[in-house]
Amino acid sequence: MIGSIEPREYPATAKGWGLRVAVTALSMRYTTASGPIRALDGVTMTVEPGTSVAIVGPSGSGKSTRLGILGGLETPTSGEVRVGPHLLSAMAEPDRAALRRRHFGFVFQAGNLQPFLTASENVGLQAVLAGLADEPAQTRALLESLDVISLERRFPDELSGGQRQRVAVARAIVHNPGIILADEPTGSLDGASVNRVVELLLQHHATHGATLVVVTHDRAVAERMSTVLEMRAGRMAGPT
Amino acid sequence: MSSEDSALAAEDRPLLSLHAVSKTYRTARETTSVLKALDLELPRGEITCLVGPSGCGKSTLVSLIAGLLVPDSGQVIFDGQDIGALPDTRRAQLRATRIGIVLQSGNLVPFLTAGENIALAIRLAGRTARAAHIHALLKQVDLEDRAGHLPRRLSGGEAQRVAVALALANDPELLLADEAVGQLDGATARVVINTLHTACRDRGLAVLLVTHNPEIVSLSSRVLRLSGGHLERAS
Amino acid sequence: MSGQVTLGGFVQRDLFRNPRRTLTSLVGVVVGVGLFSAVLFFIDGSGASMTRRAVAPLTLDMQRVLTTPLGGGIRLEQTMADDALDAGDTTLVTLTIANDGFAPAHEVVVRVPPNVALEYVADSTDQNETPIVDVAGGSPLFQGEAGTGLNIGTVEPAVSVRITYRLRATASVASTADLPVRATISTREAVTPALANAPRATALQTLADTVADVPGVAAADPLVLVDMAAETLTARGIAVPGPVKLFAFDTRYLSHYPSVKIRSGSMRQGGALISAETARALSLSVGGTVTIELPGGAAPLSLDVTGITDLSGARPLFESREAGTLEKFRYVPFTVVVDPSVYSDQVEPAFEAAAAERDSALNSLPLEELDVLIERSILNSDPATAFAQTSGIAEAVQGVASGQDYLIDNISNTLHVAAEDAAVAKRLFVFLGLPGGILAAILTAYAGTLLAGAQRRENALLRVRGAARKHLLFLLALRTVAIAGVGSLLGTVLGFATVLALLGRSILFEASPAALLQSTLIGVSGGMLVTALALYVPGRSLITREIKQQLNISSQRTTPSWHRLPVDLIALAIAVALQLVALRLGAFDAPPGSVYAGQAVTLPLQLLVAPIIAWLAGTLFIAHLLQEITARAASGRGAQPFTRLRSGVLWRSITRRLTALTGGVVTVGLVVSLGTMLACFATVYDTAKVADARFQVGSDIRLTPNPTSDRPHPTALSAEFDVSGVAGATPVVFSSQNSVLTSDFNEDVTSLAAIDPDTFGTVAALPDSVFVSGTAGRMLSALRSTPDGILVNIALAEGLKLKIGDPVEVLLARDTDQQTRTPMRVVGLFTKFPGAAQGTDIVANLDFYQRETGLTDADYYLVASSDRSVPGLDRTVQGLSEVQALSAGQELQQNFEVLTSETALDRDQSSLTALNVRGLLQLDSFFTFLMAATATAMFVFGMLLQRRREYVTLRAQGMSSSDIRALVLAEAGISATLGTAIGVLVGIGMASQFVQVLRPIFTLSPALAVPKAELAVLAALVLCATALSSAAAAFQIGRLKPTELLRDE
Repeated sequence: MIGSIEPREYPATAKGWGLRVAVTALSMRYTTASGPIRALDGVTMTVEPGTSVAIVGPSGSGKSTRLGILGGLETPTSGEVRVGPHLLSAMAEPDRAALRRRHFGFVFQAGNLQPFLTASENVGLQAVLAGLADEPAQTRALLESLDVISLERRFPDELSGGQRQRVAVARAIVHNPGIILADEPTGSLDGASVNRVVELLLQHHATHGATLVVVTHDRAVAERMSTVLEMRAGRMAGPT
Repeated sequence: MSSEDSALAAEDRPLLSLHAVSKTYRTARETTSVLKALDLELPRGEITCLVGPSGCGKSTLVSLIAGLLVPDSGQVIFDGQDIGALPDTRRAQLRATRIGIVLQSGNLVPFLTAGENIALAIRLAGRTARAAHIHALLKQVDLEDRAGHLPRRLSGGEAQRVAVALALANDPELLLADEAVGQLDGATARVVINTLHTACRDRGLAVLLVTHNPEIVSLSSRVLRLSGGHLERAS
Repeated sequence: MSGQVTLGGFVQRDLFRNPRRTLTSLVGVVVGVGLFSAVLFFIDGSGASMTRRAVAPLTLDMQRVLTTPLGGGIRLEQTMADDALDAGDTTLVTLTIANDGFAPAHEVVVRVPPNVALEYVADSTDQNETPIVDVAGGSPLFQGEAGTGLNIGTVEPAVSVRITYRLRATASVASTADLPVRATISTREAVTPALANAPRATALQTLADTVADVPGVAAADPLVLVDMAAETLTARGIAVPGPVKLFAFDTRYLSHYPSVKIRSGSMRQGGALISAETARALSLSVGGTVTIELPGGAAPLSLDVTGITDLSGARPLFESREAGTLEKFRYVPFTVVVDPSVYSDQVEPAFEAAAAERDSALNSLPLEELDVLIERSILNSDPATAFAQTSGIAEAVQGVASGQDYLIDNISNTLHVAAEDAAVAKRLFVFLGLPGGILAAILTAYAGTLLAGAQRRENALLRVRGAARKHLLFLLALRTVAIAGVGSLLGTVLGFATVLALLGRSILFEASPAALLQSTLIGVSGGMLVTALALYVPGRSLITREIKQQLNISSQRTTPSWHRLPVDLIALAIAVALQLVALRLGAFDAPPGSVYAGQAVTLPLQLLVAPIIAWLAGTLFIAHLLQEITARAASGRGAQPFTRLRSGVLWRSITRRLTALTGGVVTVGLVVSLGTMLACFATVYDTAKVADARFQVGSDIRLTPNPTSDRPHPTALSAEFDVSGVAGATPVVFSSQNSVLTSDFNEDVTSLAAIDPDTFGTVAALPDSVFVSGTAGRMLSALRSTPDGILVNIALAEGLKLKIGDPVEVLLARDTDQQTRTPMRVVGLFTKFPGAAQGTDIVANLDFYQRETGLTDADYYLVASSDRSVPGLDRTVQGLSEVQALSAGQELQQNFEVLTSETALDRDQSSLTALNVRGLLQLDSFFTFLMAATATAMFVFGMLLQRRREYVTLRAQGMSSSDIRALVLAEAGISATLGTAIGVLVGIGMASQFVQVLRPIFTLSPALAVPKAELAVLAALVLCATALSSAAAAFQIGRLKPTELLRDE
């Protein structure tokens, strides 16, 4: 039972304890009214712990699906997903959830903050989910570092897109996860905000050694990651 | 002026112009002045890019131009007519027939297929939707095989492209695109931009394109920056 | 390729491709309209048997009571002077009109149509030797074109009139005796012309035959009732010790009126049937001879006894025919029955002769009547229509030989009252179904609020596309019509199916197809109207506001203005005010109905508006009060740490979106309050009906000694009823009009009950409420301590100007040998007394009564059963059968009539309660269950619809499925629990109001009862539905495709 995955189970990297992600022959097929769709077709790749990867490709090439599977939100039609020592693709949902809350941090394209919680409560929730005590001081420090401290009592519908996204990043890192999965985190932001968010993610990646996987169509963003993986029509097209 | 001159003047006259337009938002907590005495001109046959930090009022500006909102003060003149003075029915008609709009998101009715969405737009303009026409429109954005897909079966970028095709369906004179190509990767974005350029050149389409994409901004000769409620020319 | 998308196509795709949303909108309509239409169909079905039920307890449908025997014996004889005639001969025709009866015959008309072979000789008509002038050149006995006869005016009794005229033969007539006799005679009393030389038949029988031919009449039986002096029945020198009643009817009467029973022997021509009491008094049995003393000096009539009767229940024979006392059962124990020919040959002439004597000592003349039975199968099931039918038949019956008689039209009276009752009941039922229609609207509107978010987004998108307001309104209208139409149709089908299951095919299809069709149309159109309004009006205002840009940033945390408390308070105040006004005007004290008194139950139905307002306002008020309190308690938000995950998230989710929760609470509350009100009312109804039945019987069981039985029945016998199951027994002396009460002011014949104060209180159904002042206990001890005290019926007391403490004189044991007059005192007043359907006027102490009169017998015994359930009552009766003193080896029923409160319940005569109120309540309860489940499911799935992205994000954040499930269940559970609690509270309030309104249909005032078990079931069902919906929703959440949902939408 995965109730307690302790960090010390993992070999420490130079900077922290990032998780390795390994994917083998991953396929994802949907059946729709207009015939079957192959969102992913026999993808194989490995992300070393503590590295940062950008997955790029045209829209509809399966990037988001890929991220969903990496995060254990969906089960592939065939193939394996291994995160750290855990065979994610074979785990039952309660175990996946346990893994997610402690070790995964998600950043979505649209923020997806809980509308009935304030900015700081959104961040605090993730901390509590991860089993940490909700330390208001720590949360505030984090929000301050992301320059959204003045917004801590605001509700998401009172924030702009960029502000929401920064709070979302705070939520994704407050519990010090081993892997951060970001799906088009800068998609709806203007230039300045894009930079800020990317900076924050890389900063956290640098200081805590979490593995960072970013799906993006923005080349400029992609190029700031250490590796760029290209996807086209559900397949890997080799690193560039 | 002679009639010839006035006709010329009409041609030269920008399709859309804003004069001292202001808009303020009031919520329970605060009052925000989003646009302050703005002036703007959109000439025919040109793509104008609008840039600026997020949350500064670009979407508000687009809504004003589209006639979805009315300015607190100032005028929005479309083809010589102050649309703020028009009743909502007339403004709706403008949107249906002469102004094409692509929003940042939520352009498609979720329970209609891509083709049906386009057909709806055509119907709202009072015209007959012909299958061949719809097909041609989708072909323009490289999605002719997606006509029967529901929006949830399209990727974000594909949905955006369908929205662009839809906005052009009724051969509008003005196209307002709020982050229409933001989500597209390089190649696809270029396809869309080319389509717009063609329409500009051949039909005199005026385009206002809100974007962050520096590549796209670089393609346009007219760039405006909105910041602090004011509009300024950027190079 | 995609096809045309018209606006209609848009709506169609919307409804078909969003099945869950469509279902959410539909389900409220379906169940609400289902209830509404079910009530309509129920009324049709159960109303269809109203006629049958209303006329079932009738004793006699119609009675033509003849004051004088018809025709009185007017006869026409025609004779011809010559036996044969040659052509050209003339002959004399003599018409003799004789009145053999003892009443005059008026407007006697003699008519002689011409004979082919004979022609009238002009100016030849004489009446009693006086010439009669020819009329219009022809015989005065056949005047003018129509041939009207000759009116000779009145013919007095024992008078003859002779009319003669001459005829000339145009051809030879071989035998005048062979000529057809066509002369007729008619009188005012007998308008139907009777042929001359007709055989002598009893006029009553002729009338009976004619009336039987009237369409709609199943049978018309002559009945003669004769009151005879005391001791006129004798055998071997012994005479019966009391007045005698003689009946004349034939075997057909027996077959039509089964309450006239023959215990042994049979009815035979020329014989006599005597009552069991007579047989006992004269020590006669079948085969013996009974002698009837006839008045007027006629010789006594001796007849063979061919059978022994039991007429103790023969209401047709003993119910009063006097206008002021109809329905009163005046039993005479000493009776004899003869057949009609014996009556007309022997008895009637004696009475006629006695009546003819100037100074005759006759008390009363024989009462001849025709008892008419109406064909049941032709009666329309709707009482109003049946009433029209029977009125028509009554007119026709009355029209046959109308004269000096009157028609007692019981069936039309009954149907008239039933028709009014039916109208009242239908209105009442509609009121009970009205909340269904309201709930349909509310559930639909609720669905609308759940889907408002999605609707707004769609509208915004359409506006961007260039849709103007008229397009949006048109789409809204289309969607509304589709949902309202389909929903109403399905709802009506559901309603029909439910009623079919409840009433069964046979009853439901007794209703006419026209009625069912009408109900269908009303159900569908009413449902459409109501739900269309509920969907269209809010949707339209939303569109208008959007277009007017009045919508602020969509924040779920602001409350709309109609949620304000003051509005609720005002509405609630109105309801309370209405109720108070009604109470002050005494509107609730409507007089109870009675079929023979011709009074329909009057129910103040307009007062039902108040409970409905209270229902809506009360629920809203309490819900919003709670919302306000919670909002204040939760104010002070911000950076509060999460101490516990589940409760932290739950608290914030609820308190920051109170509107959502309140919507669910109000909806569930409204449904549950309706269900509670119905459950309470059903319990009150059942309890009150059982109490009424027990009151009617007197206690749980009443044993009445059969008149045919030999077993002794002294009052002391009740002490021997000490068997298992019996909680107590008490003897009662009571019979109708067995006493006379004399006050200073006046006197009256009364019905007296003598009770044993020691045992009566514990055994009989004697509530305190029947006494004007004081409790039952006090009244009984007053009787005990004041042996000569009496309790008096307040109506009688007012009539005789009596108050407590007044001295009176009472004639006890009236019309018996032990009759005695004794002074007594009024010690108490009551409004009604248990046990006597005919009404008790005075109540006396049994000991005192027995001492004064020397009588020791009881008229009946009341027995209380320790187990009052149906099987318990049966067991107690069984136990009683084993009491030796009661049955002595025979069946208990042979010696006693056993009446239990259960059997009395079956014989309930009130036409309103016969309308199956119980069935209607079952129907309403079923739909309440459905609606409660619907409301909770809608709340849960509404949450799911609106918060999909939230839940999926929580999943992505790593919240376990069980935690998410707990979240959903908790919020739904809180909504359901609060709603149920509020619902029960408001429902009980409503029930107490409803019970007030419906007081008139019960005998004893009903008290509000809260059925805890049923309410617990309702609450359990609501919570069960909540749990199931939550589980289903949580399951759904687990299956949502996260990557789709987390994408921008």
